[in-house]
Formats: sequence, structure tokens, C-alpha cells
Amino acid sequence: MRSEDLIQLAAAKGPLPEGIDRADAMTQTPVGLSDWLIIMPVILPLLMGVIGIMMRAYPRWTSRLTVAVLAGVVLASAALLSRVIAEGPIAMTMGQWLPPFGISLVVDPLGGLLTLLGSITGLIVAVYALSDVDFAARRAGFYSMLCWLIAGVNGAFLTGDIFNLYVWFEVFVIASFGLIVLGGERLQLDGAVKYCVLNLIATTLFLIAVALLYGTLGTLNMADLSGKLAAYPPDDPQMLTIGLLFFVGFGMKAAAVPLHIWLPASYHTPKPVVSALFAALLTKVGIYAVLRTYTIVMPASNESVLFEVIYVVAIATIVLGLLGALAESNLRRMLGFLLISGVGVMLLGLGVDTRLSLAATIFYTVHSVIVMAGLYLLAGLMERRTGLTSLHRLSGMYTGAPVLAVLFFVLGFAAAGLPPLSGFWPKVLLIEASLNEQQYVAVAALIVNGLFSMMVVGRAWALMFWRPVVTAGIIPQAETPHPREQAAPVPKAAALSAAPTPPKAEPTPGHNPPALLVPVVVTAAAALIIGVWPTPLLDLSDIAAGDLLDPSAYVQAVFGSAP
Amino acid sequence: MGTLIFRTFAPGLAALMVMFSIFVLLRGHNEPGGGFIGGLIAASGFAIYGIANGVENVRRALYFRPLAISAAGVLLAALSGIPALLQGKPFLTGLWWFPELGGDVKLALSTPLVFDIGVWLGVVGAVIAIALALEEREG
Repeated sequence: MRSEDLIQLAAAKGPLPEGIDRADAMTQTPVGLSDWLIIMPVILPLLMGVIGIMMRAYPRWTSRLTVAVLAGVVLASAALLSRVIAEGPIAMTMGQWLPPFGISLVVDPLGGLLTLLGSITGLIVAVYALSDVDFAARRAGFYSMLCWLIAGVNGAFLTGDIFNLYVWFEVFVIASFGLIVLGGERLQLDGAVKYCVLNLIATTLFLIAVALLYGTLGTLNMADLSGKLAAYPPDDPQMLTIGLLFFVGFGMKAAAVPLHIWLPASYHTPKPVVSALFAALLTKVGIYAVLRTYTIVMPASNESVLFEVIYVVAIATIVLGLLGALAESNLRRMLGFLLISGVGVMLLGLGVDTRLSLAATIFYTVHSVIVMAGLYLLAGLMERRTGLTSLHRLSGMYTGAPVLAVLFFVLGFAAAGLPPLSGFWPKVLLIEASLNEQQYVAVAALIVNGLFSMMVVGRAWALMFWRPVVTAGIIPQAETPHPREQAAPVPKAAALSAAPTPPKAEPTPGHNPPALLVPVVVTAAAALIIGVWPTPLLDLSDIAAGDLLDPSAYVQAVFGSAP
Repeated sequence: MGTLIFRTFAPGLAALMVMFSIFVLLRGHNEPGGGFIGGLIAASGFAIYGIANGVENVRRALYFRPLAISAAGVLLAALSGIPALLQGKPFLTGLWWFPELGGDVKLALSTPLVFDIGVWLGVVGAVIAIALALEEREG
């Protein structure tokens, strides 16, 4: 083809030589400025991440700029959510193509709410890292990878295309690989290998499920899938297989029993600030993806046997997570098991599958993001303060660190579901929903969950803060490392650059700068406020659950007037 | 690897490969080619230059850090979606502009081209960073 012909083609005036009119596949409705809010939570952190790499020589300015940009992302997400609450779901299809040809970004109440939470978590972590992450790690790209992780997570929450969901999964997984090896110590690499391998297996299963879905239906747009899948009977073997593959892949991401082992094996190895980011967001993306696929994408699966599977897995996750938490002596590993138990609660809401139980799941997801971020950051503060990580050795801190004691009390019992804190309401709602459905096993599991979580948190608090000093109090003492860590040193992992990375400074015990307390206090205050004044979030969760059960508004937003 | 023949030949070969990669990049809109494959070709040229004349020379020739080049490419690719905002069209809509250069010569400039240049820079930077790191470890 000659270049004149190319130019003629590109002008797109009149029909193409093959007799195709390109305008048939293009939207002609103008896009308002406010619709551009949809891509802001994704594009802003993405741009900030690459600017951060270009500004590597100025780590101080990069980190400040990142905090400013993430604050902007929070504002954009909040504006987006308020608009969705006012007007219902909104959508924008990239590149002017009509759906299902183009990739749509769709915001419904659930996606908007989680995007806001993801952005807020990013901001909290970025502020905490200002005083916690050393310049070596910043030069290795900590802030850039943080931005890409937020971009990937927000993209996953906003996309309306199931293959695009896979792409965003890969974006934040790759960013998380970078974050988990920052520092390059032996223990970190050990955790990172487990984390990477199992996460790659999970995304591969997800990809296989997407391929099967595309091969069966020939479309990947969620709204389009929703309409096409509604025609299938609930127990169609093909759809059962695909649905099960989705659940295995996403369940692995969300750390549901029996595929949860990677989480406690890896979440205590990176920097506490990285752990907090992962615990708050990455499991929730798995939960969100399960919710999305099992409601909007596969609406007819409601009656299928898959919900029995989810129900059983959820109950096993609740119980085994708590048993693990009771048995753990490492603080951050214990928090990991608490998180897993929470994942069970969220999945149970989907397993019960009524509007009330889905609302409880959404509420619990919000609570879990806030509280887990706070708890892991708090664990980081305690490690900085004492240099210790083991519950056997942490002791007598009530006198030494009363502020940390209060914060752990609030956040821990919020996670356990003690009224009047944030974890109480979703559990009550879920118990009510289970009673309405006569699911007595679920009720029992939830009550056991409440009781055992109290024991876990109470035990940890009593050991760390309440009991008299076992060693010499807040004076550091080197813990005997695991035999694996005593082995010969290994070469450091290659950082992003060819420049050699200086060894990471050991956390020197001592008083924490007050700036580090601010993010944790914010999360604790949020847990308290949500607990005392749950109505707005309850209403929002209810609206989001309603939209999940009835995809028509979602589909309408994507396709507009053209079906 | 550092024979005289190879050392003499490598700079010319690298220059040729970079030129060819730019040709492939510009050709790639409707025909085989494009930013990704073009970037790989250019990066191979720099890798050959590094094998022959040492990694330091490549770093000096590039002036910017490879990863910064890569980041600039991603920045360019992401920004290429923004002009559609001014036209009230969705993100990443292709916009075209045909300046006349007189004498019946038309240029076809477009946001997809900007996107492709961004991809090209991104691939060039990332692959060179990997190649140079590997070559440094060998030496």
C-alpha cells in the first residue's frame, strides 16, 4: 500500500476501500469534562510513577510530589464517587470505539467506593513512608512502585473489561514484586519467591478462565458478557468450569483457604509500610474481582453450585485463619492470619448471596482496608520502637509506649468486631442475613469468629502491653534469628539500577517521630468514627449491593442507548 | 569479543540499526512494524556497541539513564491520550493532523504516532537497562 493511500485511509472521510464505514464503530456523543474523572485515579499515579523514575536524583522532592499527587487522586476519587451516588454508574469507552469493541472504564458505587479507599490507602502509606523509608530505598524506586501499585489497583476497580482487569492485575502484581524485594535481605527474598510464584499461578488461572470465556462467547466487555451469560442455565457445565477457575484464581489472590499459605509466609518479610499496603489492598482486589464476576459478569450463576463452594471455603477460611492467628508468635504473621479470617467473612457474604449479606461484605471490605493498613503500620512502629517482632519478647510496653497501646487497642478490637468500632456492624449485618436465610452454620462461624478474634487480639495486647517486662523492657536485644537466616549471606538482589545498593539500616530502637503516628491515628480515628456513625457507609454499601444484584444500571451506563 | 574487526565494525552497525529502528517505528501504523519492534532493534544496536566497546561508552553515548528514557517513553505514551480531552472525545482517541509542506507533500502526524514513539522509548530504555546490567556482570 502506498503512502498516499495511507493518508487517504487515515483521514477517515467517507467509506473505507473495503466498503466499511468506520463511523459505524465509533461513538459520536461528545464526552464531557466530568467523564474524564474516570481515568484520573489511574492515569495520575501512573504518570507520577514515571516522573519519579526520571527524578531519581531528587528523592526528597519526588516523595513530596508523590504525596501531593496522591492527595489529588484522593480528591478525584471522592468527586467520582459523589457523582456516581448522585447519577448512577458512569462509563467511558477508550479511543472513541463503541462498546464492546473498545475498553470501557465503568464506575458503579462499589468500584467508586473501593477506588476512593485505594487512593486514601496510597496517601496514608506515602505519608508514613516520608519518615520511615530510607533514601536508598527511595532511590531504588519505592515511590514510583507505590504509585504504579495504586494505579493498578484503581484500574482493576474501575475497568469494565475482563481482560483489562487481568492487565491491571499484572500491573499491580509487578509493582508489588518490586516493593517486596526492596532491601534485598535473605528473608525478604525467601518471602518474595513464595509470593511471586503463587501470585503468578493465580493470575495464570485467571487468564485461562478469561480465554475460555472469550472462546465461548466472543466478547470480554463485562456489560456485554452480563447480557450474553444471562441466557445460560445456572448449572451449565462450561460456565461452571469457567466460574470455578475464576474463583480459584481470585481466591488465591484474596488468600482464601486452602490457597492462603503464601500470605503469612510473605507478608512479614518486607518493610512494614509495604506490608500495610499489601494487606490493605491486594487481598481486597481479589475479593472485588470475585464479587464482580459472580454478580455482574455471571448473573445467572446465582442458583448454581458454585455458591455452595464459596460458602464452604468462606467458613473454612474464617475458622482456620483464627486458629493460625492464635498459634502465631510473630506480630506481623499473626496480623496476616487475622486478615485471612476477615477474607473469610467477606467471602461468606457472597456465599449467603442476598442484598443484605452483599452489603455486609462491602462494608467489611471498607473496614478491613482501613484497619489492616493501620494495624500493619502500627506493627512497623512497634518494630522501630523496640527492634523486636516476637510476641514472646515484646512486653511491658504499656508504660513505655502508652500511645501505641491505645492505638493497638482501638485498631485490634475494631478488627475483632467489638462494638462500637467499625468491625462490629458488618458482622451483625451478616449474622442477620444468614439468619434470614436459615444458614445456621454461617451464624455459628461468625460468632466463633467474633469470640476467637477477641481472644487473638486480647492475647496479643496482654502480652505486648500489659504484662510486666520480661526482658529489659524497651531495651533492644537481638532475637535469635531463624536457622535459615543464619546461613551464609547471599548476594544482594539486583536493584532497579546497576548502582550498588547500600545495605539497609537496621531499625534502631528508640522513640518514633510524631509524624509517623499521624497516619496510624487517622486509621484508628476512622475505625472509631465508622463504628459510632455507620449510617452513611451502611446506606452506600446497600446501594452498591443493589447495583451488584441488578446489573441493568451498569449495562445501561456502558451501552448508553445503543444496546 | 573485543577483536579489532568487531570494535571497528560495531559503531557503524549500531548506527545503522538505530536508523532502521526509526524507519520501522514510523512505518508501523498500518504495516508491519511499530514502536515495540523498533525499540527492540534499537536496543540490540546499543547492546552490540556495548559488547564491542564497553558498557561505559554506551552510557556516555546515551547521556540519560536507560530507565529514565524508559520512563519518559511511558510518560509520552500516557500523555498522548490527553489531547482528546480538548475535543470532547474519550481518552486515547486518535487525532490526526496533516500539515502541507508545499509541493503536494503531506505529513501524517497523529496522537497514535506520539503513543508509538512513547512505546519505542519505553522499550529502548528498559531493554538497554537489562542488557547493560548483564554485560557489566560479565566483565
